[in-house]
Amino acid sequence: MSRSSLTQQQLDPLGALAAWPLAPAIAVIVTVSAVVTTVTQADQAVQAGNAPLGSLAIVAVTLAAILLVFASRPRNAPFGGGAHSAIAALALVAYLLEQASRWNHNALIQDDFGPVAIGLLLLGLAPYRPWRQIAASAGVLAVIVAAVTWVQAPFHSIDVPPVVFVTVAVTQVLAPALAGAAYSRRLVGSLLAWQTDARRAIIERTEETRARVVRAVVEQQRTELAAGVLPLLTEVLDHGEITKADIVRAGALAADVRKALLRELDKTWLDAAVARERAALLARGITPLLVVADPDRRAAAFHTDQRAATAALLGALCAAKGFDPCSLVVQVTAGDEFRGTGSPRPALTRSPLTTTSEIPLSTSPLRTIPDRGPRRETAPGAGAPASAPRLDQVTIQVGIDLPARAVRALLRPYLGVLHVVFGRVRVSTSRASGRRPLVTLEFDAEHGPERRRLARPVR
Amino acid sequence: MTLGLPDHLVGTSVGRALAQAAHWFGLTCLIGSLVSLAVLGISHPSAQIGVSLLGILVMAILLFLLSRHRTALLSVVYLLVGAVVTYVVSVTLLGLPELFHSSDVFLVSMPKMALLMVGGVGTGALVGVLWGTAGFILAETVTVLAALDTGVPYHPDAFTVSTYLFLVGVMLVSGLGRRRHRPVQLAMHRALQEDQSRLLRHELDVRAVALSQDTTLNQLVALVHAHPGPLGPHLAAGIRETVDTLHGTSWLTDSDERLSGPDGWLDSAVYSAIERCRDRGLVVEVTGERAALGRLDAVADRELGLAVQQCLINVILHAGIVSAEVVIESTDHDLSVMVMDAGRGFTESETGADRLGLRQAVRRRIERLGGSVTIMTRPGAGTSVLLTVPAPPGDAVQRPGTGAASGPASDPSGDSASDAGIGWPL
Repeated sequence: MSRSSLTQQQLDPLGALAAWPLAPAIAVIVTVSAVVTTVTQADQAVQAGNAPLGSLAIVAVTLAAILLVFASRPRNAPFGGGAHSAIAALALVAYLLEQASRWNHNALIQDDFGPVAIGLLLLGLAPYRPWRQIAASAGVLAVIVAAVTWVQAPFHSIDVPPVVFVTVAVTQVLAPALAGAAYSRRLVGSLLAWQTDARRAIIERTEETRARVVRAVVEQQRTELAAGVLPLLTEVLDHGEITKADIVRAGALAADVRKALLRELDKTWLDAAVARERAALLARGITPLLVVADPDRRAAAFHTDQRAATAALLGALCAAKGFDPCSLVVQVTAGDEFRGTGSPRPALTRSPLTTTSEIPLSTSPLRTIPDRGPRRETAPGAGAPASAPRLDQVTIQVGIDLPARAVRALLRPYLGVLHVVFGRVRVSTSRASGRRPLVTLEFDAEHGPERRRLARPVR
Repeated sequence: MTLGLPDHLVGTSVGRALAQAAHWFGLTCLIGSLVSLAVLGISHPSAQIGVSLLGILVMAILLFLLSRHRTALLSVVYLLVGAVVTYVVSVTLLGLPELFHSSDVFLVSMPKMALLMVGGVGTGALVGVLWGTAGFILAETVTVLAALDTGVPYHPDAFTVSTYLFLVGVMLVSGLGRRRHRPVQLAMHRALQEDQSRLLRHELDVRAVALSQDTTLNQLVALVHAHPGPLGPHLAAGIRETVDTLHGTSWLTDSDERLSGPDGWLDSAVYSAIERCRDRGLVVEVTGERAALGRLDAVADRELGLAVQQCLINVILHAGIVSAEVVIESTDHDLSVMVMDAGRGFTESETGADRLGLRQAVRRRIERLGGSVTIMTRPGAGTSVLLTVPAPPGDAVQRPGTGAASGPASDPSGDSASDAGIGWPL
């Protein structure tokens, strides 16, 4: 994606969320100014015989304002090109209807609400749309406004050259719109510059801890092997012979080791993120029951932003006041499993759907360790070709004993981010009698073509 | 990457973006004014219109310069010149015979609105509001004077008033709205960092699994297939090799040349302090003899860590910059940590209460350890704080090259020079 097509909302969803009050403020300003202008200049419309068109102009600008507020809401992120075009088109229609309502009887161009409304509505797009598109929209609309103004110039009450009227009208469009484009361009530039630095810093910071992580991995492996494998191998070496008991013991240990290796390979970032929250709760003296249900390892295909947003959300949920430590269930399923039927999703059960419980374990130690990458091609009902984009659905259920308003306040900023990095984010709350309110978050993760991970056969 | 801006950059970045937006708004108004005046100059030729045209051009040039270099001097010059030009333009336009019957015409409003868009310097919402307010007051004042001079009735102009109110509203929303989401932004930063750490752990786990498969599992399978009886030479050699590998300490690290981070660094309080500041979004680059920190005793380590943390917090709070550099040097008897930034800098003798941390938390802390603090700074040239503490010689410390500290690290006499305001080459 090129720099000029990026937006503040994409790079900094929380910043766009903070800027959201601008949209309803602009909506109110353009609507009120349209009503006031139309009412105070009703005589001109009556003289022109087109008064109803003035009312239609108010309707059009109100629709544009409503669309701006609706499309900029965090729950509707990201702000699409369709909404952008629709707002620009409605603003233009409102301007044309206003001009038509007073055609040849418009005393002063500076009193029209149309050009200012176009400019302000385009300014309202600044946190959500690329600067180039805002500027292009402003340019196109300014040309139309200029043409309409030029045609009407002879009928205005002030005797100045038509270019002066055109300049007044075009300035009212361009000044706020170009300000919006400049804001978008500058902020996106700052965000990209910061993110380049931050990305490098995160990598360097991680590398600094490499030695410590290596030691932890070595220690963990050694601890696991010290319980059975090392004593067996040492004994066999010391005795210089192999007994039947050694062979049986070696078979059992091989199966155990293999099982442990599979378990390790099956872990995803989601298991690690939940394990982290589990450890944090244990450190606070709470014994949690946190469940990850991702038998097909779909989480492995999530990209960095999706992983970080989900992990941050899980952290916030587990740290929230009123959190039920035995309630968190995170499930990742095929996104199309419940599509098209209109039937409600089955409620998550509290069955121990852990990733490890789903692994088909062989009793033979000689079996090849299978590819533990996403197994969508073998999943029931998943007939999409491997090269097709895939859709996964994440469902998080959590009990939080807080009023609905507090839950919404808690989730709002996280949802602002989730809406940008995931598709179709939905939140619902259910309250069963005698139990804590259960909050359910669902969001879709779209991925590009699958990439199979390399299998490593056991000889 | 939806990383967003760290807390200390929000004000700066959004402030600059808003200033840029304001400047473009103002420039558009001035271009509109320029075109209108040029056209009116053709239809109503007069010397006064020529002067107005020239004034608007000067104002536009100043605003353009201001958009490139936001300095207080340029902002003040723009406001003063803009006020004069607005007065001249207003008198010129309102003085045109039988054309405008009130002061609230959009042609007069255009330079006035451009005057509001001074943007000013500073990053806070309140600062932007104050500059805009200064522009608004000047604009309305000169319009009243122009109306009095020309005898045209003064009417408050809706364009300038609403533009001013809108500007104030936007600045306040931008400045205050973000503060509610600071903890979430912090959580996102941490999540991204932890994700990177998880990737590293996963990479190493996969390597460990592969190695375990090659060694442990293969030997166990070989045993399963063996016949009871004496151990064959090949099988014995294989088992011995596996046992030796697993008993060794470098089976995962043999091929990893990047492993150079000794415990002395990762376990130090300086490292922890840097990590805490990185959590807040500061990019900290560390170079030099990091392992030398392992030579410090617990007290010195803790105090030096707190001092470094205070220096980095100062960068976050005052430098107006995203990154800092920490350089660690050591001699046989001393250890020096230099915290450098290329930010605003300051004059130490003129620092107020907000710089108390530098005096109390840094200077006194280090001096209690028997060390010294050298502050090298001047306005606009960044800041370097050199912390030197005594460190007993340590055998485990590897010092590349001669091991001697270079430059300022070994020159405690720099203290007085820097206090006198001599800039450090950054």
